[in-house]
Amino acid sequence: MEFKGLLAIITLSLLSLLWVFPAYTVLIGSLKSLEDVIGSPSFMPPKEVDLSTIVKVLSDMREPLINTLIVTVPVAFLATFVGSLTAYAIYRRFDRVSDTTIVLIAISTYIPYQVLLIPFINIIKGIERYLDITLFDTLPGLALGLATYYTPMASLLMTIFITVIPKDYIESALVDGAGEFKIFRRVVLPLLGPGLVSTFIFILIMTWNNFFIPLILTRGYDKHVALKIFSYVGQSGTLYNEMFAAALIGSIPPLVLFILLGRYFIRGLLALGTGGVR
Amino acid sequence: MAVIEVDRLMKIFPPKVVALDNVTFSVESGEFLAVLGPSGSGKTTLIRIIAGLERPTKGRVIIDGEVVADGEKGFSIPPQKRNVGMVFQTWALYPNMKVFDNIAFPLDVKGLSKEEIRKRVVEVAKYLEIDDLLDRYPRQLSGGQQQRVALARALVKNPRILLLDEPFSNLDARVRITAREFVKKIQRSLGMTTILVTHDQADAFAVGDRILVIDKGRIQQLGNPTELYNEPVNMFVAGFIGEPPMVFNELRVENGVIEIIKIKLGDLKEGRVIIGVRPDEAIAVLTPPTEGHVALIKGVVEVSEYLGARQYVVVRSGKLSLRALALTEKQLSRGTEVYISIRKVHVFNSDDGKRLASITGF
Repeated sequence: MEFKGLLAIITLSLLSLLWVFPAYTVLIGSLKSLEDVIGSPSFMPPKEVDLSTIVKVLSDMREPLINTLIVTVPVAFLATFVGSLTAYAIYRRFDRVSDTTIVLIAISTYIPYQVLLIPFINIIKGIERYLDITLFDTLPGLALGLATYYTPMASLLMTIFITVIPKDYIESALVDGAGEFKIFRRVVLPLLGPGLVSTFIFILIMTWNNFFIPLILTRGYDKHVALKIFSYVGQSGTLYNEMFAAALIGSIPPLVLFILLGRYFIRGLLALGTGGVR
Repeated sequence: MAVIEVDRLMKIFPPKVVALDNVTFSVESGEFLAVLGPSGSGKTTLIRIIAGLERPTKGRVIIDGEVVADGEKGFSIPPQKRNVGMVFQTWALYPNMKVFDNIAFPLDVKGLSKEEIRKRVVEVAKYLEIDDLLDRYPRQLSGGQQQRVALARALVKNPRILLLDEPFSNLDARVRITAREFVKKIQRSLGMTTILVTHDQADAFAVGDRILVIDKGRIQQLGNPTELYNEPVNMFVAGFIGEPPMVFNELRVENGVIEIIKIKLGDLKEGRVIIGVRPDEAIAVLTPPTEGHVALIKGVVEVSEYLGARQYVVVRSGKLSLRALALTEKQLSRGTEVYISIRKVHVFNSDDGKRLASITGF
């Protein structure tokens, strides 16, 4: 027992190092001066702590951070809500149509989105021409792009979460005279709580960390944090300390969110395992 | 007047599971009908079709003279529009709502005013003696209380009929007895036409004015408890009803007399029959009685089951094996020679299990 316990702790510690090491590098890298970060190995602590990089990058990051927030939070909300509606419809139908729908949704989340982006740009251009609006290189356009790709994923997640709700609740509400929308709003949505939070967090992190979709759908670097971090990679050289600082700052918001809502996230996952929300 | 009419109801689940096969019966106004059957008998499908949660493949359901489902015409009024009250096996109380809101739910979806809802919820809660629980959440209630809340929610909208799907099976044995009495009392005083579905004959006997026994999707027998117990139409009903269950033996008939028990049969001269004897209608005694029996056999105790208040013994006499009630103070041990005074014998056709005759000593 003693030996086994020790072995487990050592294994877990080694595994966690795999995750901790990059985070550590980013943290100390952002505290180094440019000479120090280029001149010393990346795992060496800074010769002297230099906060000026972080302060400078923080002011640079203001605009992309706000833009990313404006885009990703509504997208995560929308994707989660639409996803829960889809999940409810599939849950209620339970026939060949719903089976096909869920397969299509699953396939669409498995296709690498990079493959779809050029046709997607064409569609966006088409919408722009048809409706006489601008979407390319705008925040609503970026939101549309992210929502298009991540709504199926949210639907898939919610479809899994909704199966935990006993059918008796819905049938009882039917007998009690409630229509589908009332059942969804009054009975299903409240019971989906942990599942909604889990999906919301997941989609928010996925859209926050997405790089390729903002790269294709916008110009410049200010509309998404991932682009801004990338902007520190120059043609003639990379400002490693500033890039590390940007990466650090850019990863804090989803981290804070996860810490705040993490227990709901875990509760959502647990609900799947135990097969019951009560 | 018949409030519920079920007419040639047939339900086939694809590809070819026949859940209900040509089921026809009606329930009178204010009657309490218990539908009794083993699991997989189709009883739950039946109640779900009446509620509108399933569509019949064939046949019709008529509530209060209104055709609510017609399999041939392929139409089925959705459950929301049937005004049926239903209590589910799990009670299905919404865990996110307090008791008040649970009971209020059917009225709330109707769009009644706040005062009206409060008035009716409090009224029904008082009636079911749960008015002190309205501010609690379902998880804070005992099983019996949860069941009353489910009943209140089913009754608050003044439904045309009440459907109860195994409402007692999640209650422990002690609470179950009082819950049955309570449900029966409420049903009587409201005069509510009610169908209860159960696999437990004690439930059915406690509450049912009539009992419909169903197996493999077919009605086996419909009658009041005495009829089912004393005149079962076939071996299924005979074996399913009664506790401990009836014991069957296949015996030969020679010259119109059944072997071993020496009972004369009217029509059948030669062949085989199955006889059924209830343990409570076969008395094991040490000295042979002179009257009160239709057959008296001598046998040896094989197994003795002492239950405190009662003692049953399994007695063998040649190829005949019976379970009998032992009316003696002392325990009858294995190997004791006893007489069995059989008070009543049911005789069944050995081919199709239909009852041919019941021969009784009184």
